[in-house]
Amino acid sequence: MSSSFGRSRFIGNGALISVAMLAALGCYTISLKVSSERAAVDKLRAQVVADAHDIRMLQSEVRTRARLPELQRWNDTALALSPPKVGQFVRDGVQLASYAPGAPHQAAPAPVATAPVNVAPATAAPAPVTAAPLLPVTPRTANQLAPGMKTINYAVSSASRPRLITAPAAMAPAVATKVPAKPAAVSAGLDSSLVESVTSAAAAAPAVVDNTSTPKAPM
Amino acid sequence: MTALPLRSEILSGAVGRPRSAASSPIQLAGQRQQTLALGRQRLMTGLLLFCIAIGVLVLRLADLSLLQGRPTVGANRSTGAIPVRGDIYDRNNVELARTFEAYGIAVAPRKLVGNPRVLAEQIAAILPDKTVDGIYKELTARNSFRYISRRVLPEQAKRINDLGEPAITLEREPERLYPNLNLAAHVIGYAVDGVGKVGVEKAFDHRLSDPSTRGTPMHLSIDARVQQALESEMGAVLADQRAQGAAGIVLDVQTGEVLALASLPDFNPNAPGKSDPATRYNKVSYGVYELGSTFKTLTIAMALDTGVVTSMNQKYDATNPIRIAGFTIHDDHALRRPETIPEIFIHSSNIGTAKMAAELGRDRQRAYLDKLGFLKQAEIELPERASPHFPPLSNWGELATMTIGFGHGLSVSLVHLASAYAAVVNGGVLRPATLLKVEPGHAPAGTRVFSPGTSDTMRALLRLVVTDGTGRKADAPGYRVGGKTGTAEKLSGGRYSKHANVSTFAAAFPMDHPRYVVVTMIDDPQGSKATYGFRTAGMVIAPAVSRIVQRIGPILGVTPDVNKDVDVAALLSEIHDKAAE
Repeated sequence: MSSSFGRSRFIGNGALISVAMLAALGCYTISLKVSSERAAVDKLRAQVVADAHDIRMLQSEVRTRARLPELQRWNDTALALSPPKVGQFVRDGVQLASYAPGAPHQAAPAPVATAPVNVAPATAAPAPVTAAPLLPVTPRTANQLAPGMKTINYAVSSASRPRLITAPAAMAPAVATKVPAKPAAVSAGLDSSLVESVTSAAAAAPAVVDNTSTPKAPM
Repeated sequence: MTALPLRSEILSGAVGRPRSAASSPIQLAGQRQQTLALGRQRLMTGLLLFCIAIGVLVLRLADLSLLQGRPTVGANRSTGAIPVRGDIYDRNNVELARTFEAYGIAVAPRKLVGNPRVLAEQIAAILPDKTVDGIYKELTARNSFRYISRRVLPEQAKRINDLGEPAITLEREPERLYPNLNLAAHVIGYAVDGVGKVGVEKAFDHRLSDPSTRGTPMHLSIDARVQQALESEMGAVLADQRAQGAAGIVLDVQTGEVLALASLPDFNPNAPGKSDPATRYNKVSYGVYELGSTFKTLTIAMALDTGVVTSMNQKYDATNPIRIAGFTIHDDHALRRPETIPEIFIHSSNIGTAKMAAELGRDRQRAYLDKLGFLKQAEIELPERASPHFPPLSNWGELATMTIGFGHGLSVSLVHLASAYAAVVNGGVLRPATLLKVEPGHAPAGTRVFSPGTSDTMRALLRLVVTDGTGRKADAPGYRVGGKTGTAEKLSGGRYSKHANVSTFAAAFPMDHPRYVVVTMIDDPQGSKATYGFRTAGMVIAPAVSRIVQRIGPILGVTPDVNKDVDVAALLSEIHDKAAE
């Protein structure tokens, strides 16, 4: 009986030693882990500081290269930008809205697909403005003009105002064709999926009234 | 129950026989007890050692986790991320000054291994701004440590390091960088080896170098865009007029914030030692000038405020020059007749203003000048501030009162004048000029100098000078500029020079609700084709003011509007001859 008691105590002591060893080993492992984590954190922190220094270096370089006196020099020598004039400021939303196509004060409906179709030399005298009543050009009216004439295509800048075309008494037939829109037309917000060009006859070209700008060069 | 045979009984074949007295259980029990006691003792010792080991580990863990972690974090941050000198920003977070670690190339001449002549040639090829002889001199010096070059590029440092000379070392040292070079040089100033020497760097040296505050960037009231516009336009006038210098200041009339301060010619604060010492002279705060007719604004404001002038149709006889104490006061644009207040102002009549100042009297004039801060150093944070020059009380008689009335006999800085003009147009409250950004709603209360009514009248008069007077070229369409010209003969060697003058224009805009004052000055303009040879302020500096206003107006949120203006109809009715200038 005493032998069995001694054996069980031996086993108990062995278990206790094992637990103690395991605990010690566990603690040591944790200690190692903490040390390694701390080393990693320190390394990371050092890296952060180094990166911060590098960022400051790069910022210094970028801002030195983009210094205002240098931009001024570029403007003086190449860009020639000037401050906006008084007429370039929009006072309020109402004024801004007045520039939109189709605003109440606009005379012609949008979209307006129109082009000068006069093939006369540039030196020819322009047609009188009051020769005929003003007629907005639309694909429909253009289709009413006779086809089969010599075709001259003009693209109309979407940024320009709508133009009116005067219809002479003996109107030569013309056809409207479609050409792909220009990016500028899209940005202008017009019905710009297509910009029409007008083909017309050389002999009886309708005069164009354009109070905004000179016709664009033929495309 | 039979007892188990002993090991000795088995070996001797006596198993089953009765045990003798010599091998009695008594002896056996004693041995076992001893063995057990020894075992327990050893076990306890082992357990104790394990407990001690565990205790040590636990203590070590606590030490690592609780005690050693915290100081490390703080130490790294304080030495790593925070610059050794604080950054300086403008009001819109544009960097004006910063510190970074640059490379310096140093040598220990006594430890030099290679041939110094060959080494000097190799280094000179990498550093183009250094000469071979200069580098050779450093390499062969008798000192133990010499700098070959400071603030070199990283690529250059690497190439020099690749030469393999053990006596040459790369030093990392903090360097102050001013990214915009000359821009606002007189405001920012510069620091040498971490110590502020001039400008804001000197004024706020402690704030910029103290570890507890240097981590937070310092925001100035300067707007770099406005500063650039002012410097650019003044530089153009300086070159066109071949003048000795030019200066200008833009001030917020409601807060006293200085948005731009330019003094030309200027210097590069990155290399202040290489600049001409004359360029480091701050003409805005350190220079004092007799600013001429720009003072007439203040004299009329004083007369209005004290009741000396009660009506705009009040007249002062400017028919003949004033002769007093051996001096003669005359008009440059003489009408030779009595003039109303608007006429005196837009024709810049010295005679009319002198008589008005005499009527005002010395004591009241001096009291107003004192309230406007003209009798003491200008209130601004810059250390470069000059004291104004004015006659002592004993010598401040009627003549001095008259001449000071139109801007002679009293020398002040442009900061003085700008602050005073801000008080004239902002409703009558003087606020000190400041280079520090003022948060909205935190403007100082200021000191009331003029009544709001006086301020309203002066705004209309100043606008009238630009629409119908000597300052017409300063007009900027839609910005409602008002201002006053001033052309004073330059004081040289105690005498006025007939051939050199100081042209000044003090302006404010928009005059219906003033927000900014622009004061500009040209020192000794020579005249040019653009000004038809004239050297007066209305021809020389007024056009520049117009351009400056048109450039900075949109930046500062002032929208031009041709449909708004100050009502000057009542003043125009008092002008009987509009042929000003």
